[in-house]
Amino acid sequence: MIINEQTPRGPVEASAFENGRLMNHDPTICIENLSYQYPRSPGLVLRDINLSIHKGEFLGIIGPTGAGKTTLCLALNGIVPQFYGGRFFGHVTVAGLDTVDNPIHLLAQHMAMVFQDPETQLIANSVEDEVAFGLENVRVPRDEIQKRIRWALETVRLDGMEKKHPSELSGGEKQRLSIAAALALQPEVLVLDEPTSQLDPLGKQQVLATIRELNAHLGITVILVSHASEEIAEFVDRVALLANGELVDVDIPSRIFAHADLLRQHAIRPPQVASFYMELRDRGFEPPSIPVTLGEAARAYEPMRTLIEVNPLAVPSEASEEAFGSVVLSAQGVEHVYPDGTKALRGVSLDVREGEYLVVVGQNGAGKTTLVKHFLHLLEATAGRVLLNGQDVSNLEVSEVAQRVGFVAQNPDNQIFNTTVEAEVAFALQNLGIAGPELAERVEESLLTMGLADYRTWHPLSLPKGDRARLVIAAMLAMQPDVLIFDEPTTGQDYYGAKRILDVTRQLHQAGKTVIVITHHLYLVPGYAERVVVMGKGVILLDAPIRKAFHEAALLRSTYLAPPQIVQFAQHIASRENLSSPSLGQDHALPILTYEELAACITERKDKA
Amino acid sequence: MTASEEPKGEEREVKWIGGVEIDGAPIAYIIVWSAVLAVLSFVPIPVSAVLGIGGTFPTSQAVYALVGFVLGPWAGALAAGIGRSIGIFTAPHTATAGVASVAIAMVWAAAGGILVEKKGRSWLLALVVFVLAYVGLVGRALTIDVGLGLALQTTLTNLSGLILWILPTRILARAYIGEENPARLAGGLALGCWIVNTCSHTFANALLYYTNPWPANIWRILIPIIPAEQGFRVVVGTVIGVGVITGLRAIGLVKPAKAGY
Repeated sequence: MIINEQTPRGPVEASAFENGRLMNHDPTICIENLSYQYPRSPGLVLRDINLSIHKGEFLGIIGPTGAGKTTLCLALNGIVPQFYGGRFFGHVTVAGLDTVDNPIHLLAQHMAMVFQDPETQLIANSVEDEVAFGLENVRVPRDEIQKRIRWALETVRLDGMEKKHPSELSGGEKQRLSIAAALALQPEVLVLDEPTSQLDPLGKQQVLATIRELNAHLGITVILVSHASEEIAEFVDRVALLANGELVDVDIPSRIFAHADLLRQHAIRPPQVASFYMELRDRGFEPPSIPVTLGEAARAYEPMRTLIEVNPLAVPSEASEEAFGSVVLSAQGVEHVYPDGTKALRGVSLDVREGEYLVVVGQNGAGKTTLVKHFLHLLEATAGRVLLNGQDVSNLEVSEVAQRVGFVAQNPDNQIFNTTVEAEVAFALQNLGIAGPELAERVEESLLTMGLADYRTWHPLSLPKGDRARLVIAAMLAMQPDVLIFDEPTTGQDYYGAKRILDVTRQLHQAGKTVIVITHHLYLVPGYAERVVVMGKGVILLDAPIRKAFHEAALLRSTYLAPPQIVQFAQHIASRENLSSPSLGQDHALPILTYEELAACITERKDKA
Repeated sequence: MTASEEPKGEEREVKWIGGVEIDGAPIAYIIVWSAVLAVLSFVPIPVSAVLGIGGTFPTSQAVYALVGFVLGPWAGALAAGIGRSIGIFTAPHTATAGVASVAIAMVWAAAGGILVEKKGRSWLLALVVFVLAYVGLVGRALTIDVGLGLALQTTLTNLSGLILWILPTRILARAYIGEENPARLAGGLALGCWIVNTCSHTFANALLYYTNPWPANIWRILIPIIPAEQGFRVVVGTVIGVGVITGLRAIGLVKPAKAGY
């Protein structure tokens, strides 16, 4: 495990900041007393925001769901208020242009934006046309357009898919395409609203490294909204913390993420290495600093080595294999070839037993969603078969399967079509002939479980995306199926929102349900899943208990995954301390899953100088 | 907003600047509605007074009025015209009236937009057009010996639209379409769709009947079919309309200047 000792930084060094303000750089974006209220929101969603963003700066924006991060981004390119209407106070200027007085198309010549939901900005009939669209609009010469298309698609790993229709791409690939289209423009300002929420971890690293490079070499000002503290800490120059529409703090990452009380108060998860060092401090150790990146954590570890010992025996042992029930879902040599010839599954065999909690991970386009769609009979296998409780699903109607297997799709909006939250939850039940008190009871229970009872009369589309995902889960819970499949349920959620959803999955699992979760957010999984299936390019690469799977760094990397930051740091410590597992090698010497487990392995050195 | 919540910044006048718009509706909305109408052209509903030339009507006909309610008269007419123009080529199986259906669609959506207009006298102009169409339709029927009694019975539904257009019911429909309450919204849409659909249908029938006059025995068959057909249109338009308008309100997109919701 090699960790770069130098934290990459762009053109703006940390030393350029004084009290969180960048000195000696021209502001490219000035926000003065910005307040905003949507036409139908009960109060202000942004309140008295003052912020200068400087040319060449890489600014991160963090905050809990509903903090106003997306609205702030939309205020930068004039979509708020020009498209949405509402009440707008104060001034925002971008490259000297006031965003209320200048049309959006003029502002767009200075700024590109990647929206939270990539589906909302894909308009062309092919991947290459999508990238070309913006370039054509700003009259980039033809040869240059072709060069930039190649470069942008290679950067986001979509080369070879130039002729595909965007609707044929997976969720993560669509997000990559949106990013490619924005990158190709090489604008003065690039605004990225949770641009990597659906990307596999190494894909995130690649995309953000490219953006960092553009920031460094072309001086592009970048604004990145993200819930992923690790990537914010790694890549940005400054962090703006928003909460309840107010700008709470702006500072360099090491100061923001070391401020434990502030983060806790605003429901922000610090990077895992920062949490580890905070935990050590709480246990009476004195780390030299609270590092926020892997490189900083490695550096901070060195002076502590003479004072501490690492005890691998403190790692909890692998939970003994529970006796699960009979096989409830079985994929037997399943292959799937899409009409365009894409081989999405290549002979996948997998048994899921009653009462299991299984996580399926893998790169974008690995075939995860395609596999679970076979479980639901939403797709027919090209070869092989899928059994549900021993019955071949191809002999069952989709509606029959749906009563036994609940599914929360990757994009919740695809499953929402009623006009109130309550009606959405009740819809499927009514179709099953359930009415009266039982209907009311089941709807109520689901709404309460997902924390949506106060929104029962709201239109589903007026909820934030995170809440819309919870609504779809509520609708599925009301059906009381035996098997529940969640496809990327934590996308777009802040840390506590994601934990809340996973807590629901755990409750359901503890109640005897079989749970299958597809996710890229490996750091969220410990404490929930027992078994991890790693997929890559249509095959199963690994099917193992979580503690083993998370430490198979090389295998995870082969499918563009990376172990959670704390696992990587544990592997670094094992390497520095020459620890090794007798049977599995150095990567498995400290098979921890969480920062608390790693901190529990650290003890005071008895023979310290 | 209470005094303590009053923001520090100066309040700005919010407007849509420089975006391409027609009659107050962003061009993007017109394009989206055109696409929706073109797609709905594919779906035939098998109840139509135009038995002699197909027996079905495309589902798009059920939402022309809605397009007018949402976009206003000119933008609505344009969206309907573009959508239908595409529809007659991509879905010729529902284009029973051929190219004439483009003009019909445009008048239909314009009538929807006029119904929800709060100011102006366009409704009077529309009334003149519909009355002339009705007179033309019945007059032509008389020339081929349909008989006044039978002609009036068959066009009773069309007549109801004209009467409701003149009465304050047009204003009532407009008011209810602007209501937040879903039940009232549905009522407004149903009433509005009935008025607009029946009036526009009069225009369509006058146009088609001039070139393709049905004999008296067909007029007799149409007596129960015309209200049934209009009923279907109203139900489909209202169901889609409630979903669309509540959805548009929920996502908070800026409203076209002449939208009725």
